[in-house]
Amino acid sequence: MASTLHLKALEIQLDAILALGTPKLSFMATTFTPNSETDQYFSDISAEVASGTTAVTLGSVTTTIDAANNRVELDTANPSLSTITATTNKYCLWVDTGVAATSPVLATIDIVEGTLSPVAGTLSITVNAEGHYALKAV
Amino acid sequence: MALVVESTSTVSANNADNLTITKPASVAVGDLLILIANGSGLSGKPTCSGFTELLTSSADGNVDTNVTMLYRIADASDVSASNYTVGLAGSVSQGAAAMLRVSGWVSGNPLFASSAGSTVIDSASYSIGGSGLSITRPGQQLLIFAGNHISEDNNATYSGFSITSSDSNPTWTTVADSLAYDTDSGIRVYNFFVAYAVSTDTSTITAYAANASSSISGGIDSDAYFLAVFVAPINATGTNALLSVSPAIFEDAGVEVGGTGTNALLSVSPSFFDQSGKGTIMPVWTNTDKPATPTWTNQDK
Repeated sequence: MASTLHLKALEIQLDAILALGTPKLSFMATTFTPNSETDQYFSDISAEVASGTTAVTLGSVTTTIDAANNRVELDTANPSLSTITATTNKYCLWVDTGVAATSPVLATIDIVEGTLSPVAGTLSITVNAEGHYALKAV
Repeated sequence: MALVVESTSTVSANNADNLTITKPASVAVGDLLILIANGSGLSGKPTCSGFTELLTSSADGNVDTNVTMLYRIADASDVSASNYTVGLAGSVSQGAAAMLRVSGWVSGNPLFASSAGSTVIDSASYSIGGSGLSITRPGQQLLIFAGNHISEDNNATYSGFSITSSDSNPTWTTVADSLAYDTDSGIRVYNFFVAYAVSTDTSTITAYAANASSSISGGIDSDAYFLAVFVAPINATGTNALLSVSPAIFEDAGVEVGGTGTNALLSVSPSFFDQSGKGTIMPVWTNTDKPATPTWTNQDK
């Protein structure tokens, strides 16, 4: 018998974290190297946000059990910022509790295309069809 | 949308405290208006109501000077305006200015990159510019090369505007090449120039230069100048690969039963059952008295 986590519980855990505040996305400077241990809250990464950008409030935040793939997926609407001059190659998902020091960072995700450098243009992410990330049961 | 210089206007005046520059032709709401003007001293920068300073360069010579760039996004008031007043700060009493109307910009600060420099030299022929640069230009761009020369006796002219990159030098258009005098402060000669080029090349700019020719040698020439790079708006859209996080499930080692163990104290409380009882009084039997020392006589046999 194989050990496993259970999908519904994973979904409930993820929903509970998202319910702490407002899910947001921040584009990060290319110099930012995420540390999965020490980058705990937004206050730990705020200095590494890409210059010229602001945090994007994520819309249509959903968690979905993908039974076929045995995982729970986090998906949102495509985030974008307009009239932006910046350089970025990754973004962080975090939950804004209103206090940076208590706003947990969920994930740092690379931009597939590498470095994006809009000039007074729109900076956007076309989110993968299955979402930003998934928690697998096995 | 590409940046396009749609129209320009210039002005220069001798012995003036301010300038009135005519609005470039056909200004429309949303146009980028770039104003470049000279100034006196190191900090006496020109100003214009509603415009924001973008860039300035100064030259610290026998006589100091500066050249300054400002911008504004045109609104309805610009459409209806006919001219702008440029204030000449400090002790200056001459001036020159140029304005470019640029389409293709959106909003906000349009300056993408720049390099400023100055030259103070006593020579009839010299070069101005900068080198050792690393100016990126990720898309179609407008390049503006502007400067101001001041001397107590020399008139200067400029030619051969260029940038150095792995691409060829673009074609430059001279917008202003003006001469102004300030006789209120003694004879001072000002030469103001503005040239621009548009390019779709994206190679890194490593240097920029122009040739300056002074009317006579033997006098100190001071030049302040800059190269400004305006890049057309660029959108950037990326995607993400799904980050799938697998659990780490720890295999628990089995614990062998047996060996030495411990126990928790099992404390058992007593249960008291009520008992029913029955009491019986036993009779007390008393022997009858017998004579106390009777004399027994055996019978005959």
